[in-house]
Amino acid sequence: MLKKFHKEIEYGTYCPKLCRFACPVANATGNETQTPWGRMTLLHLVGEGALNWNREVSLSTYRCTTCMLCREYCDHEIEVPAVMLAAREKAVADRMQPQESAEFERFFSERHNPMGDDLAARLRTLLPSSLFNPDAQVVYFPGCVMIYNYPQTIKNTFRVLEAMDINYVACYDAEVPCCGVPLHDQGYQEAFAKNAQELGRKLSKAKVIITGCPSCAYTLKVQLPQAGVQLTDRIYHMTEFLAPLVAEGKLPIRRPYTKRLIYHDPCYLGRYLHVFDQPRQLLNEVCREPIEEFSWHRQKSYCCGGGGGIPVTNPVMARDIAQKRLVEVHEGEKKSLVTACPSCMRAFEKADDSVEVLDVVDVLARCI
Amino acid sequence: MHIAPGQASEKFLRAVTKVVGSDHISLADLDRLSYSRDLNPVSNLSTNEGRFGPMPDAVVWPADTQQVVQIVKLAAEHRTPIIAFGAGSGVCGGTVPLRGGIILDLKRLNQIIKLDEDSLAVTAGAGIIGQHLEMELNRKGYTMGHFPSSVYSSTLGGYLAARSAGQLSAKYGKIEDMILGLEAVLGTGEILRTPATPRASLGPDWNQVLIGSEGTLAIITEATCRIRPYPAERRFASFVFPGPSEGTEAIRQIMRHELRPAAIRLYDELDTVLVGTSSKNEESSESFWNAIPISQFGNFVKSVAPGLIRRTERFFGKRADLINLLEKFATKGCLLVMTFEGESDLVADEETLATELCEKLGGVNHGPEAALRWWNNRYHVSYKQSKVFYHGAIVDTIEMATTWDKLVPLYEEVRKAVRDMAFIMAHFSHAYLDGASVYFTFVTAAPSVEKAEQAHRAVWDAAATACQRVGAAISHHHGIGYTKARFMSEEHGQMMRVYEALKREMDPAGILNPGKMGL
Amino acid sequence: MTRKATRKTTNVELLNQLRDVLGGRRVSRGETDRINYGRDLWPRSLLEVRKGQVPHQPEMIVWPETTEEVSRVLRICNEMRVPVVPFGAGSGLCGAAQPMCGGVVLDAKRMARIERIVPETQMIVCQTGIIGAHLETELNRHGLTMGHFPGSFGTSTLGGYLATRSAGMAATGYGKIEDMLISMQVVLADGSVIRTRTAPRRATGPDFNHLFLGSEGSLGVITSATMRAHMLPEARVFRALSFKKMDAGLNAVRRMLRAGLRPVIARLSDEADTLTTLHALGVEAKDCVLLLVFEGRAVRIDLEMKKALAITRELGGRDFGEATAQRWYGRRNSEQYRQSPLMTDEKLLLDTVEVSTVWSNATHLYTAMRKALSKKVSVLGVMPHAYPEGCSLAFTIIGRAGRADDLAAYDAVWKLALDTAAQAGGAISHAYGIGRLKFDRLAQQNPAAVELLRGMKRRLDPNDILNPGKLAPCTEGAC
Repeated sequence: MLKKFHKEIEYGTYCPKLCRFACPVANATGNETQTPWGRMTLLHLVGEGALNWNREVSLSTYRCTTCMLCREYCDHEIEVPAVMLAAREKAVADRMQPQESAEFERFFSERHNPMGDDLAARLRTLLPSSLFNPDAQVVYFPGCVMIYNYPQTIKNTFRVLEAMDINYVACYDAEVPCCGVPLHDQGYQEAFAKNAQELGRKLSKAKVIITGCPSCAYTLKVQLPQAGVQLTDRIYHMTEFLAPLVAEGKLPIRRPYTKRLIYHDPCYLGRYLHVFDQPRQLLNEVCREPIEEFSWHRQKSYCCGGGGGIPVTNPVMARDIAQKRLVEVHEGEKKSLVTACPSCMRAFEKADDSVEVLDVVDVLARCI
Repeated sequence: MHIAPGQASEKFLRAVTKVVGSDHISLADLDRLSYSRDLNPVSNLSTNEGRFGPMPDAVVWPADTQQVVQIVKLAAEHRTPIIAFGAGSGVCGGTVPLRGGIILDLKRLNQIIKLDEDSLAVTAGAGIIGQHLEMELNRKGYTMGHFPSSVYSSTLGGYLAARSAGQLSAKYGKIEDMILGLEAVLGTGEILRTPATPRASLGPDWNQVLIGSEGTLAIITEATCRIRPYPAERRFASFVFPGPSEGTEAIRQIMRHELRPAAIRLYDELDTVLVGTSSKNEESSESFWNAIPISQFGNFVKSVAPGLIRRTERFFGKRADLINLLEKFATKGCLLVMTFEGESDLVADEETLATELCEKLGGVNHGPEAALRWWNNRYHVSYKQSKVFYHGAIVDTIEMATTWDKLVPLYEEVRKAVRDMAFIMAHFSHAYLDGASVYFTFVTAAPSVEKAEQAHRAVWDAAATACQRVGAAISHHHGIGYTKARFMSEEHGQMMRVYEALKREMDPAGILNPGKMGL
Repeated sequence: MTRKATRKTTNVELLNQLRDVLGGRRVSRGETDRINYGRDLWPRSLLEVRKGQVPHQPEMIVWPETTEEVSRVLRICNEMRVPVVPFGAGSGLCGAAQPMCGGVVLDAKRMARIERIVPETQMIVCQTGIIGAHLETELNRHGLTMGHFPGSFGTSTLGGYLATRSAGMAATGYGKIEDMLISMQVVLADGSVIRTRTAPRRATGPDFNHLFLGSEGSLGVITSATMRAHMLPEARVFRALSFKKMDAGLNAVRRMLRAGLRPVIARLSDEADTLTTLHALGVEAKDCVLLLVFEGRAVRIDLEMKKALAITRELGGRDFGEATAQRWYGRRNSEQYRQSPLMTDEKLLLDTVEVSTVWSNATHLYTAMRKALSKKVSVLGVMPHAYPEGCSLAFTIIGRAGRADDLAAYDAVWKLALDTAAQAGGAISHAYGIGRLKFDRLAQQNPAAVELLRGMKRRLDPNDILNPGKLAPCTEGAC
């Protein structure tokens, strides 16, 4: 599994480790092992037979948020997450994965989602039944974290759509609520592929899929095809869908949003899907104050700590990463953090409950 | 007058004589007397009364580094103190032979060994007089840019040992910025040479450890220093600001805009009167030290005995009119003088922006005259003091440094602390990106030398307490010697442990300038 | 000096005591951590790691977060005679951070708190484990820059800069790390905390900063520092110039600095470096290329550039324009990435010998180094930093790295390089420090200075726990 990453591993072992200042895990722990250089060195030594492939080594590969910020500074253009995910796959195959990871997989398989709850049922209590239509061509895919943690954002999404007189979007409520990215992140490629097959069947009729979750969007759009499941090629994040419509003036703005906001680019929405402008355009349409930016933003946005399955295997690390990101929120005038990803929202809220965290859609909903 | 014979053993002195030759060692009382003091005010005061402090046993003039090595080895063997001496212009008693021993006058090590024009570097013996070195450099088209007001009577070795700073430090840097490499003899007789390179990363920088050590760690015998081409052009500018806050803000802005005037000096209201804001005030400036009736200054008058008043009036005269004059000028604001030097177009650019910044901050442009006049009189301050001592009063200067946020507070706190004990005024004369120095001059008097010494000490203690409270360096460029040694533990805290370790390592016999620097 | 200190205790006791101070999470003795703290970026180590060896593994790694914790860790280790290697981000190129005698690696990176930024005084007070790039980002947010940009910017710490006497790419304009330091806090081997005090200047004895600057972890652990910063520049101008011969280029830079010009960067490549390094970065110019960057006020830097161009014309240089230099500037960090492809694909190792000297000796040193090294390895020469009095010269050397005797060959080339530099009147390190790599040569070149350093080490660290094996080779059985 790691053979095809020979170049990445060797280059990484001999590299100048200049990406370290960008790596959220390296910054949170201060540990040399938790740099791309350190992880590659271990894999190199394993490859040389100088180091046993054991749980301790595999654990180091689970300490990557897959945020891809290192790639921004890597002249070798190495994509570290791909190597780490391959190593996790190997760990799973060799039963060397961290215990938390194994437990998580069992938990997931019970309900086909990471929450251990009947998410479809929860969803149905949120919205009028008219919004659920298995044959619809334009489907809203809410994603597990959104259903479980941010039902209000789902409601707000449909309130906004309704305010814009958009009635052709139906909500996805199948028994397979998860895009499968948690399995993918933990190295369970087989289970991920199985989940993908299921999803493929459930979403086969959709001509357009819209989701509020960047990880879902990326998984459905890019990772499912890699697992042999091709959905429609018209898969959008909600901000991509809304931005041109709001720009046309479709959203009736009753009152502008007056509080200060700072926008966090989710890694999967930004670096992975290249959606930077649309959330900002939407916010600029409704906000009176200019939207503040983090010093790390857009292409160089910084991880919330919620990616790459880190909260499962390394919850303290996830919290530390989120807290680093929140330092700038606490500086200067009081402000709320706005983003466009439920996983990011969750990561921030878990790390610091004193910060108000909003989805772009929540902000829009407050203005209608 | 009786001068006690020295304590050094004859055997030692004979051995030293053998090293330098009998022409270059003196045991004569008059020489011993001349070398018993430097220009520190307490010495001046005693001298005025005809009293003398500790005497050296002998004065020795070595010819070269090898002789220094031999003498140091002998001194270590005989446990005899050895005090390196340049030209004795120190104002803190740095070369006063507190525990006897020999004064090692280095003025024979005065050769210019090498002028490397391509590398803008000059290598010279430590005993060369600053002005001699400068004149020689000027002749070849260069300048060292180091102009302490003692430049006529101070040596390169003295600059390094005492961590000197010249009047044009904003452009040319202080002595520690000029050093490339040096040669020094440790207390063991070992020679330490640091490579003359513009920059290296080879462990601790021993140059910077020896600079400022005032002869307590090693005897600097030779140094290679940076020089600069003699400036093609020199420009002068002066501005008057409402007060020290506005004036120091202008200096801060000038420094943070990366301008490097050669000199940049701001005088407080009283000092401004002394210097004068235009060429027409020449007289008040020149006559100040003769004219100010310090007995009539505020609380000071209450603390002095009638006899003293008479005595000081001999010196100051009954010139109440001058008080009024002073007050009139005192409200006139603070004078900022600047000089710029270098290639013409670069200098013009600096002057333009400096002018713009000063005017933006409320400075009134007074043209070049006041600055030019400062330039022409820039070494005169030292002469003015003689008259004060002659009349039995005591004058001293306190130069401290701190960061911009604490500069005006430091100025105010020290003045407040000293005001009741002495007449005090100040200027700000060395500026940096992060702060500046403030240079106080105070005058006080007492009926006897003993009392004057006490008064002097009291002023310094009060100033040091204020300095500590605000958070500043107790000396910006005069050094420590022994008159300020009591402040060293407060100044450095636990870091004195490191100094002591350096001392033991470099001077295990404890012979180098003992009793100084709070060691 | 040999290591006299012997261990008094077993590592279980040590582990327990360290955990009492730091908790379980900030002490590690895991194998993966020991491996990754077993090397820094000393290229020699690459020859070893390629063969699956990491020769100097520590027993434990600790991550203190405060000066107090550092003090307690040192007290414990001093009591138990356990080596402690202060560690920043491990980007050193001379092996200074490698735990030659095992013991505890003290990683400072969790001490990264910025205590205070005072824009008014252009000062920043912060813990020394902060990464250079992070520190700079923070300063930028306040309209300031430190102006310290070493090649390792993204993976080096303030403490590392201070401990190794670092100089960044813009040293010609902003100065070296010692010019930026105002004061610092140091923990000595016995755990006592000492500090130098903050003031723009003081004449109150030796400058104690300079004893610890460059001490490479052997005299104390620097835990906090107050640094100077500059205003962010209003504008930046670039130029690529070229000279037929290195000599002419060196002369041009010398003349510029002599005239009072202050480029932030003046980087001169020799023909070989132009044809390889610069061409790979898209700099289409010939001969010896001089890259000039001025930063600051627009009016000022235009004036300075005009004067620089006049000097260039006078000395027969060619002008390759602004865009060429900008292209280099945009990709300047790519130079750091030459190692991996060479090692992986070509079985070649790259290293850099950087030395310094005064102008009058620069051409001689350059010629001597190039001539001597070229007999053994490929050589690319650069003058990366210039000062009014002289410059540094850096030689990228590329030699084979695929055979059994490579380590011996590596050591032989370095011996040749340092001997040549010393004989030709160069200082054997300009900004990379000494580490294990250069110490023996330094001891040979300046025994008096080295004896002083060792003497101070004996006094400040009598049990020789701080970064042992650097100021003298580790003796058998001592650790």
